[in-house]
Amino acid sequence: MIKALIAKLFSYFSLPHILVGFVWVVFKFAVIAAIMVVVVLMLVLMERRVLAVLTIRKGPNRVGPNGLLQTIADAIKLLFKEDIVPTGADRVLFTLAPVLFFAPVLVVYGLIPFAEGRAGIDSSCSLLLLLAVSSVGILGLVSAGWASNNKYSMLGSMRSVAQGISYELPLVIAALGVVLLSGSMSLNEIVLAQKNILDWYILPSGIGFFIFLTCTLAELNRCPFDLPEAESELVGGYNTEYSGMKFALFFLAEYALLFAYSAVIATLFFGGYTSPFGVYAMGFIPYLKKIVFVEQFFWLMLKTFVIVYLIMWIRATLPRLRADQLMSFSWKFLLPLSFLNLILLALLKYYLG
Amino acid sequence: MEFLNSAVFLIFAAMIIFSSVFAVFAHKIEYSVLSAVVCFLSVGALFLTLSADFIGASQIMIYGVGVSILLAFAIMFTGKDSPKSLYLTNPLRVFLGFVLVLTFLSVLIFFISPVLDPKSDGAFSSYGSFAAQIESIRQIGTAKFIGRRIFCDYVLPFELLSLLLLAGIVGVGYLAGGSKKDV
Amino acid sequence: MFLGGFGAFFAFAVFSVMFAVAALVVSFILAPKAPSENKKSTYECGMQPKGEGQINFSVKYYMFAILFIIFEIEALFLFPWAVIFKKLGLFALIEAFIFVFVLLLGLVYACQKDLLEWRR
Repeated sequence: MIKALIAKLFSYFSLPHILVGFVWVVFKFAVIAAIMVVVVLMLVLMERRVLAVLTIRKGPNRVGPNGLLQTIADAIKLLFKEDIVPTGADRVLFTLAPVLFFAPVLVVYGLIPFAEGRAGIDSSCSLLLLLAVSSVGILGLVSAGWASNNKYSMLGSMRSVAQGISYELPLVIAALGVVLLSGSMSLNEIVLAQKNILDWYILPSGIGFFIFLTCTLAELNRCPFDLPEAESELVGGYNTEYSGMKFALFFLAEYALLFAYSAVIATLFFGGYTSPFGVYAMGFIPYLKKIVFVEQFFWLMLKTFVIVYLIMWIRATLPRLRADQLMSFSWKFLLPLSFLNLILLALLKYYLG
Repeated sequence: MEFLNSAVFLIFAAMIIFSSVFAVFAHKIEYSVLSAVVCFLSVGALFLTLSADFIGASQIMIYGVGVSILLAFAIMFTGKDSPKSLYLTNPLRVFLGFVLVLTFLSVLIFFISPVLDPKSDGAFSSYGSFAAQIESIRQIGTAKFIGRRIFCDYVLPFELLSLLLLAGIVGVGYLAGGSKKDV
Repeated sequence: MFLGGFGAFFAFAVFSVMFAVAALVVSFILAPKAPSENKKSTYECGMQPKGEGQINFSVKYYMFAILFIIFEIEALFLFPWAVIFKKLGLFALIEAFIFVFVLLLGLVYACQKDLLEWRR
């Protein structure tokens, strides 16, 4: 619809037609970046309010109506903060690290289908690409730790990286189970295979969901796997030396990834953008039929925010693991379990068609 | 369109060459690793430009992330006394390096040339005319094609691969055996 | 096919890097700059930093990285199998099971060797 509009505008102003595709991509990127920024601003506030409720506090409630503008105030503050590069830090790697950590997140957003056929990047291999691109962020952590020239940063980043790679494997294999069930690596097709609440892949692949959720918590360095930023022992982890906008980029990317992973969980196990009843309310109304993608977007958001809430709830509930427990939990429990899950799903798929 | 395709190809090719040269000549070992990462990721991007989505994603996952982290860990556990750059000064090593590169290049040419020759019965000759072959080359990188080739035509190599990976694990065990005391 | 159908992917990659760089540039213009020796000193909970920041790490991180690559390769080889699982049938199922089984043996071996233990 909008693409056609852009094409019409181009022919009206007699601009070269080759650029239509380019402008279309720019438009999609702008929309998705806007979604990301808004979602992150909401998530930061939501996290603080949810944690406040769960620990019987009030949470931020002063800036704006009911504290709604708190995160915007925080963002503006961070924008005007001085950016300090500590002595002995490697300036190039120190600046590159937040960019390297942040950039993959937006590409991940581009790969998530927000409504039927409406993903920033269409690909028949989008699940694998998503897993690949999201793991590139780890490199940002390595360079942040190394460039800071600080022992806390270094320890934090090494822990994050060791944890990130250990928990990447069960995550990939749990995703493999979903690929096996749907026979496709395109996220859009995976969603379309579970149009009904009874088709949701959480039913055959409940173990897969558990593994994926656990690994997501570890990849995001969230409780109970928040050793890399354990305040009581490591100050702030890999971003100890960061300030101003560079810190803000790390912070932004972390929350953006929280949403992205939750959306991926919703997509893989809970039917993504489809309605749980198999039909869309807007599909019945003549004029709204054309913009049924709005309802699909709503369903995805609803499912994603339920999972985000679950993750925040876990943070308020569980204590932190020990470093050695953390590694053996992944390698000795989750990895064999994920293979078991895969084998079970293969047998299920083979015998039940 | 064709022009843009070639332009992007040339950009990535140039990135691969320059980053790999820089990886060898950089004066800080961190920058060597960084440019190696750039090289790995550009190779992945090059695969993607050729529609080889599966191979491209694998390249990013294994080389772009896995091997890069391996390199980063390697420079982190080596001591301060180790050389700070990869710049080779020993003439014997330079000579051996050249021999190795030439051998690799000739092996590569030996294996690739029959594929590129439209008249020969290379690996893809069963797909008809040259244009059809180009089209079939576009299919090669996709997961479906690879799956069919692995699980129907190359079963034994696939199983041998698992043994190779097993050997890798045993190798890790052997390496770690010596460092029992270190905590 | 433009860029093998991945034109949007590359555009997104380039734009995301530009987004991050733009954020840094804006803050570079807006933020005050008043560096001082104390401010720039490495943070070590108020103490004078001792020694180098880039300390040496244990080799076990390296072991985990190698194991990661090995199992990652395994998982990636199973992706094509999962995609065309339906068409392949029983033979491929057994093939993949043998493949997984051999690598699980490797995992058991690593367990026996205490490779997966964080503190040995």
